[in-house]
Amino acid sequence: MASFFVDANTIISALRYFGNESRLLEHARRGLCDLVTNEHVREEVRRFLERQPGLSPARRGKAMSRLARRILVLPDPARTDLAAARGQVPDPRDLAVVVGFQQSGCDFLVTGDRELRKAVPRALTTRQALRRIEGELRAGDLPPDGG
Amino acid sequence: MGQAAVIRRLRPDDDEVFREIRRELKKSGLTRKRMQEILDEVRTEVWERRYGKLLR
Repeated sequence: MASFFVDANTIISALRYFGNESRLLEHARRGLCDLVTNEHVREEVRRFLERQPGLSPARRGKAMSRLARRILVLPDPARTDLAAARGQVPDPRDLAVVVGFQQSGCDFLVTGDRELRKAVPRALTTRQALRRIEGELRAGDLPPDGG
Repeated sequence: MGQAAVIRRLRPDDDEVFREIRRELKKSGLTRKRMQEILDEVRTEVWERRYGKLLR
């Protein structure tokens, strides 16, 4: 079963739209893949939701707790590791994601950020991640629907 | 027998929660472009707050 490190744009898209990203969350719920992220990304999502005036604090809290049921949240990389990785990506704000992904042991990084996909060898779009999961499913490499 | 039972879920399941959030965000007029703008601002905020001095 493949594991995917997801970044904030993937998670937020899943909350906003019914589409590939929400399907990825659903696959995780059904036990067809593992989704992983870190505290840094979680904080980006939390702050994004705070900026949505239509969402009450209770609704935001529910969103975060429901996401936590589907996505494993790892601690952030050490600051020294981030400093050492400087230069791996053009935008330093991506360092916590890239190093987090590398340290997570996940098979792939899933991101909507094209520049980040160019910089990280095992980075996929959500659509590509779904193809992998569904390919494994067709090959009978996954458990049956666990509900 | 002969009695009607109303089964109410005490807690909405995950899908229902996600659907409600999606509906609220749509209602607020959040477009993909605006979503990216806010995310970009938030990424800067979070980076600055957590690691801002790291690479200076």
